Amino acid sequence: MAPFLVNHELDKYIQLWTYAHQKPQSLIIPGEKLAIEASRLKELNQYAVDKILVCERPEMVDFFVANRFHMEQKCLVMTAGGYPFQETDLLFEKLRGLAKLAIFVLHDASLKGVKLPVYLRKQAPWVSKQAQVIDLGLSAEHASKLEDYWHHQTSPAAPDDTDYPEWLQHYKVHLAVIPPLQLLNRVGRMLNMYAQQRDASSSFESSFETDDALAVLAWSNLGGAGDNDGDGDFG
Amino acid sequence: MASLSLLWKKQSDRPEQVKRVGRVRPRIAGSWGISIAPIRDCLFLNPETSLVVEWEQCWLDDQAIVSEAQWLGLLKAGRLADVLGAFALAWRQTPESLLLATDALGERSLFYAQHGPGLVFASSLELLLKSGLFESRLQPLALARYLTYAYVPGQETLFKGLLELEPGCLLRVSDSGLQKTAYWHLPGYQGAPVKTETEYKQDLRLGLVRAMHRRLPDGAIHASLSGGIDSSLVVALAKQLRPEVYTYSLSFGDAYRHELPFSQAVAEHCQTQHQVLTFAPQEILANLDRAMACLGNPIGDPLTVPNFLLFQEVSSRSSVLFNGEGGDPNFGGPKNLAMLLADLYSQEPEAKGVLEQIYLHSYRKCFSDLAEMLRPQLWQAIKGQLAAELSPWFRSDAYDSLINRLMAINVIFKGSHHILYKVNHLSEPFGVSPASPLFDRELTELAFGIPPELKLKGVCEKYILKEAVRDLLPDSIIDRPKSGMMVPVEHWFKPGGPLHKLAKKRLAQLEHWDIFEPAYLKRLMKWELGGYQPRHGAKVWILLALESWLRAYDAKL
Repeated sequence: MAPFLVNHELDKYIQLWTYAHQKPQSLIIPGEKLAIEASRLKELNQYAVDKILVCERPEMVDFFVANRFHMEQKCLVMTAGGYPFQETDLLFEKLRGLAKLAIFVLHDASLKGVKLPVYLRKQAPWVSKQAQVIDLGLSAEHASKLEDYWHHQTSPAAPDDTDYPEWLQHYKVHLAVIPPLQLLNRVGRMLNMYAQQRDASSSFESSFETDDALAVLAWSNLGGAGDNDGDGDFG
Repeated sequence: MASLSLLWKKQSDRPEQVKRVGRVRPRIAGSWGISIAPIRDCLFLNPETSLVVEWEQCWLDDQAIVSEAQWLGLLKAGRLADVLGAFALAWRQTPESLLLATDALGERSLFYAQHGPGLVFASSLELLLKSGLFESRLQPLALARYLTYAYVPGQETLFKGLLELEPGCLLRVSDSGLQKTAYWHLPGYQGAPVKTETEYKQDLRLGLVRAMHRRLPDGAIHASLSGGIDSSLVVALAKQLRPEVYTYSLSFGDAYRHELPFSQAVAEHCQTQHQVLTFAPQEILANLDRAMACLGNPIGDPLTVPNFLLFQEVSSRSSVLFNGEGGDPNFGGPKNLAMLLADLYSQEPEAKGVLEQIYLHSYRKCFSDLAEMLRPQLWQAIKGQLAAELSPWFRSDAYDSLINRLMAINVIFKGSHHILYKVNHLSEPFGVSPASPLFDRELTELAFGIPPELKLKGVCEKYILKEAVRDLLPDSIIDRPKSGMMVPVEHWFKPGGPLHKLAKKRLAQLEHWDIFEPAYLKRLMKWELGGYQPRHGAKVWILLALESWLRAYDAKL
């Protein structure tokens, strides 16, 4: 198993660095929940999004937002519970009314993580029946290609987890094993692929959820600088 | 269209300092001298009217303005604010005062600079510099703005002391100095809709047709056609007004992503005579110097050279080329949703400068790189100053929504100083007039009176514009997502790309100006900037355009 750097150790190194130099400029500080003011809620209610990236954990949301992923992709980024937004009633009401919403889900390869897309499809109060939930991983299939990065599950398996692969009962792979730039680029590419296929084909909704998501996140080489294509300004 | 360069001196000064500029026929009347460089129409000071005006398709009270006498009449009647169309003028209102003005949206340009007690002004920066009265010294803050926006917004130029008269403004020059006032303002928008959606749609359709009519040439219509909604609707409207319509699309080769199937579909639907102009990457770079030399202020949009070559191509066939520019700023283009989302995720959007910073990022050019891109002393001199000119717009009480504030900024900044500026200056050498009906002033005023939720409706951008012309085009064109005309700069300039070596060589020349950190330029050309969406190709183009411009104008830091 590869050595992991746990959060409190990382914090210690950052403190040392800050003492010797200064606080790293682009360090992501865990965000406080955003209180959306009434005027902004009003604007939100007037307009819409057609895609959301749902991350399993708040720190993943912070990471994507800090890199302006929401702006580049014109999508919401949040957890299933609505983080980083403090007031979620109006937001959820708005989302419930968006029938053509595409919900991309990003999570660890863990029992808790792989349940997230299922929760969103079947139980999440803000997801309409017509919305499409697209599981980006990490899935059990991804994890099998990332064997050096497994570590033990911290919570025991629940009784209804028997459908999941055996190893998920014992191990998990944290999404953070993917280098940040690759994660941004590949999730971004995923959303672009979705948009292109949706625009090109009316049968997209039935055909998209095949191996496309796996193709995006299942790579064997975690090195490299990632994909750099980009277009011009927003117009 | 013509260029004019004039030097005005105060009553008490002697006129012998008047410089001859370009193809000049200088006239000296009384205490002030005027030099004019005609490009197509001859524009001379009329000794009887003390007026020089260059105009294109101007209208007052639904009547075309066809003579200088009409201009003099409307100026004396104080009716400049009622004129629709493209113009730049200088009027010696009294023996002691001179008045300069350009049209409301920036279809024409006027540059000026104070020189001692006098004032020099011209329709191009080149002519202003040719007076020999000014040094071509770079203005660092304007340079940073260029790198951020890929154009130079506001009244500044890249040269110290040389200014551009902002659209919709009057500059009065007299013994008491310079006084600038706005004779036209973008309409505000507050409150609830006053009409039904159908009524707004009908008004808009009528406005579009009127905007087309005001620009109609004699005979056939020639128009650029990208296949996007804006140029397509202009072509569709053109076909309603003239049986003979010629359309032109740009291509950079089949190897790159393009929109030719869409433009072809529109051409077939509208039954136009369609032509695809294909440009090799080497041809684009070979013409960069010619295009940049026309511009005055540089523009770092990769479409600049293809646009330039298109005007050249069309010039033998028509004196007017229609385009679809203006649809995005006026009707809720793609910047708006991104900005709304960025605003939503801001911890303190009301805090000073937050929205301004987001807006600067939204251009997706070099704003994030400036600290490492520029020489430290240069960066320290301009750091923190870039957002200041945006603040009045983001704090404006004239609008009650971010969408309308953004639209106002986009019209005033990008519309005037990039879109209209570009087509005006690139077309001028070829004697072609750019016709931008979607940037018609009356249409802009109409657009600002439409509720913002009918422009960006849900996720549908430019909703009301699309609905206003839905009967003219196939749904596949109306409902297709925004793509934008893509110039494959990422592919051209990346290591191994067809223009990589040439670009690297040219960017190395930038070291002469001591503006940029050499280490940054090396990382850029190695495609090693890092970060999410570094957009190397777009940045290379911005710098190539600047390098070309610096040489053309012999500019110095």
